[in-house]
Amino acid sequence: MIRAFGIFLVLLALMQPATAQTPPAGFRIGIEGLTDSGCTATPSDAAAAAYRKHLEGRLGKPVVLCSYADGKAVATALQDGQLDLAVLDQPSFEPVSKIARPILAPRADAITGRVLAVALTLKTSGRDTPVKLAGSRPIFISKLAASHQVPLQGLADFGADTKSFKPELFVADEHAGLAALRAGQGDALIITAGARQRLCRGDDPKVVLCGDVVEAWRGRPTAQTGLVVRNDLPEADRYQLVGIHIALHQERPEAMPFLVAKLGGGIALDPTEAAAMQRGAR
Amino acid sequence: MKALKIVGVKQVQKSTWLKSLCVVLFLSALSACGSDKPDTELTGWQKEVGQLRIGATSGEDSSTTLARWTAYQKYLNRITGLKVEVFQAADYNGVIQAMASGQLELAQMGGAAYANAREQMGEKVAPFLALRSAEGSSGYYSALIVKADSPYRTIEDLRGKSLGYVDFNSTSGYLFPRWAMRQQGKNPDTFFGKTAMSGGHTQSVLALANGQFDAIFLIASGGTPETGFTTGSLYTLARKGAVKISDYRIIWTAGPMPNSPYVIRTDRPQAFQDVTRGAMAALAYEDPQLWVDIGLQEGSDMQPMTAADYQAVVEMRRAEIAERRAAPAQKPSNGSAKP
Repeated sequence: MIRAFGIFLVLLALMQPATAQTPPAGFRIGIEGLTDSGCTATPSDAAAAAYRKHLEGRLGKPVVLCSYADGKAVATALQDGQLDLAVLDQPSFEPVSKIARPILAPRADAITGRVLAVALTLKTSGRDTPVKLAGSRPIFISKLAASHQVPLQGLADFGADTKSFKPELFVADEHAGLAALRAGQGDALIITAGARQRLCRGDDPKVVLCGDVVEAWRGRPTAQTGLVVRNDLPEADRYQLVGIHIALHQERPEAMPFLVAKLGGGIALDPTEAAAMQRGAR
Repeated sequence: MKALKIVGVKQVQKSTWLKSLCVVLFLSALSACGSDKPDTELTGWQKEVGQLRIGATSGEDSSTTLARWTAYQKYLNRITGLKVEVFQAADYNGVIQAMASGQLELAQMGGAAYANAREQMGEKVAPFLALRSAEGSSGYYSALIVKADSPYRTIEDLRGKSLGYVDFNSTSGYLFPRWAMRQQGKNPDTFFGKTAMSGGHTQSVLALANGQFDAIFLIASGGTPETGFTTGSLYTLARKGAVKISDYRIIWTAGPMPNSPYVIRTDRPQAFQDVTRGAMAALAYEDPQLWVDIGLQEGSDMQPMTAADYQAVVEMRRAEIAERRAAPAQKPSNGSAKP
C-alpha cells in the first residue's frame, strides 16, 4: 500500500506542469505573460507552437517556453541561470545588463532598422557632443524614418534635448546638407553613416572633404525590446541563435506573429551590438 | 599577391575549373592563414564539417576582396573553431565549379553566378546573406562607362563600337545590362560592333583606360543613378589613385539588381549554416570599425536571403542562354576587342 502510494506520488509529480520558477531541462525561453502558465513544450497558441518547434528542430534539443508575471521576473530568472534566452524590454533589461546582453532586436520595416547615424557640426561651432546640440536647428536629407525619426531617437537616447531643436531643415541630399551647414542655415547635419561616408570619403584620397566638420554624435537608437542571453553563453551558441532568428520571418513566417507580439512590433529580427539596450551606450 | 590576369572563357570551362581556382590565384598569403585550433578538438557539427573553405572571386577589386575575406577568416575561425581557408579565383566559374564539386562550403558571388550554380547544383546551394545599405536598400546597378574625353554621350552613340563585358557569369557586367538592353529593343549581340570578356571588373576598367574598348559594363553601387554612385570597381580604383573618376563618364545604367549573395552548401550541418550566418550578420553591429576596414559601407548590414530573391536572375539567365542559342549573331570573344 505504501509502495503504491509512493508510485502515485511520483506519477503525480511527473504529471505536474513545470513552473516558471523551476524550468525543466532543455533550452528555456522566458517571456512575460504567455497564454500558458509555467513552462510548456506544447503551447496552446499556434504561433508560439510554431516558434518553439522551429527552434527545437534547429537547436536539436528540447525547447520550452516559460511564462512569467512580468519582465522583471524574466530578467531575474535569466540572472539565476534558469533561462537560456529571454524576451525583455529595455527597463527590465537594465538590472541584468552586467550579466546579460541583447543579441536581436525587432526591425520596424523593410528599409528601417536601428540605423547607424551621425550628427555633423562645424568644428568652429563648439557643438561636439549630443548635449551641446540643445537649441540647434537640425538639417535632414529625407523624411524617411531611416534618415529622420530613427537618428532623432538615437540622438535623444544619447542625451540630446531634441525637443529644444529649432524647426527642421530638409534638403535634397547630403551634399546640399553640408552646404547648408557651412552656410549657417542649420547647426547640425543629421544623416545616416552611409550618407556620411558618401559625403566625406570622396574619390581622391588626397582630397579632404569634411575637414571643417566634427561628429557630435554617432550611434544607433536604443533597442526598446530584444532577445537577451547571458554573457557566459558560448559564442558559437550565441551566433547560432542569431543565425536562426534573423531568417525566422522567411523560414517560419507563421512563427513571427508570436515574437512580434512579444517584442512590440516589427517585421523581422536584426542582430544587435552588446550595448544595444543600454541607453546612450556605444 | 599575384596580379590578376585576364582569363578567357575557354580557360575556365568545367574541365579546368581547378586550374582556374588553384593555379591562377591560390593566394599563398591566405592559404598560410589557418586555424589556431587543432582539428582534433572538434566535436558535433564542427567535426562533421571539419573545415570552412570559402571561395571568393575578384569580382570588384582583388585587394578589397582579399582584405574582406582575410578579416572574415580570422573572425569565423574564432567563432566556429574550424580551420578557415579562403580561395580566390580569377573568375566566377572557378568558384561555381569548386562549390558544385563540394570543395567549398561558402562563397560570395554575383546573382548571375549564383543562378549558374543553382542550375548545376539545385537546392544543394542557397543564398543566405546579402548586403543591405544603411538606408535599407539592397541592390546595385550596371553602369555603361566611357572615357570622359570620348564623344559618346548616350548608349545610341555606341552603336557599332567596341564593348567590354566582365564575364559570362557577371550580373552587372554581362547578364543584367544585356537583359535591360533587350527590354529597350536593342539586341546587344548586334548593337555593338565588337565585344569581348575582360575577365573581371578591375580588368574592364584598365582595358577601358588603355583604349582596348570604347565602353564597358561595370558594377556601380553605393547610390543610385539620381544620387550618383560611391562604390564599385571604378570608385575603389580611384581611391587607390589608380584612376581618376573625372576621366570617366557613366552614360547609361540598368538596375537595381539584388545584391551579390553569400551562398552556402545546404548539405552541410544546419547548425554550421546557422552559426556562420549569425556570425557574419552580427559583425556590422558588433564591430563596425572592422566592417568598414574590410571595405563595406558604413552603416550597412547583412540581411538573410532566399532562393526566391534571385529567381528573377535565374529566369534572366535562362532567357539569355536561350537567346544565344537561338541567334548566335555575335559571340563575345576573349580578351580585348582592339589589338
